[in-house]
Amino acid sequence: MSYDPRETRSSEFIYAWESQSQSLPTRSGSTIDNYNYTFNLDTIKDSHTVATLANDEVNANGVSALWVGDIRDSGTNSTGNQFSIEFEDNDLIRMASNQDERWAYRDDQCYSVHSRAKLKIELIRAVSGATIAPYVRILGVCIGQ
Amino acid sequence: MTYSTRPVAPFSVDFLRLYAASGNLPTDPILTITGTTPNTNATVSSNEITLPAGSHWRIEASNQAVTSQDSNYSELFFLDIYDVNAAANVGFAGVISESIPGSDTGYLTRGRATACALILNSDISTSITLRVQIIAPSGNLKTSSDGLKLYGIVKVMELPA
Repeated sequence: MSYDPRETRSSEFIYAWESQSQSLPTRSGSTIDNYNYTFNLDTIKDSHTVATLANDEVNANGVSALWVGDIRDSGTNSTGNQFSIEFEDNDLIRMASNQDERWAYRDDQCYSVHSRAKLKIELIRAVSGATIAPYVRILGVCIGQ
Repeated sequence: MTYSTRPVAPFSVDFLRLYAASGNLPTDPILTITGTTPNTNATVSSNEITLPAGSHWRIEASNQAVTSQDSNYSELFFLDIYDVNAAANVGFAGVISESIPGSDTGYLTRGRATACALILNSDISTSITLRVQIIAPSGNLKTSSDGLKLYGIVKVMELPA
């Protein structure tokens, strides 16, 4: 592995979450539409104090990180909550994890590799408007690729 | 020149698309794997991932598109990472169960739905070739084209040996 004097081989973990209650949007329907909803984030911790948080976006300030995004939605909807969560930016292929009220047969966390992380709903069929926070959180580990 | 050092974990990541099934629906399909691996030394061909020796590897796979047929909600099936040459599963299977809410007729098995494996460099002589497949004891699977279920992935992480 090549040496880069700008990097040290230790782990930089970044955590961000929302400490206040947040209500999801309310929508019912049978079609899947593009949506533009951003989950709130108001708190950040990291092991080397290199990341920042502004406007619900975590910024690793020039270093790529592997990000994991997760929410917990306890709402109900007559047709089931059906939407996906994903990160707005991703250097790799699109990854959107389906949030399905009725069944748990897929990974419901989303992932990206990028220097920034903003957690979004971009695809939606139905959502109940439930209050979810503080169960919105992201975790990043800087990998510098 | 002044350098400002940044800590980075010494591993690389690629995402591969894991979507529609090829092979034997409705029972035991092999899942389709597509995409490129610009960051790791893994290669992809014919729905198989080949990992060369020289690194440790962490593989995570989550089906999104394959589900049970509409009239058969109560199902239990397993997502496996399968070593093609050894003809054996590696790592832990994803446990996938479905039931109708409020019904006591569905399966209650719960576990992580993601199949995952840590493959050590010492387990690889030259390379290891993997595929992702589903074993469905009761059959009744279908591939969903639902727009919310198109973006499942296999995460390929190459770790320093």
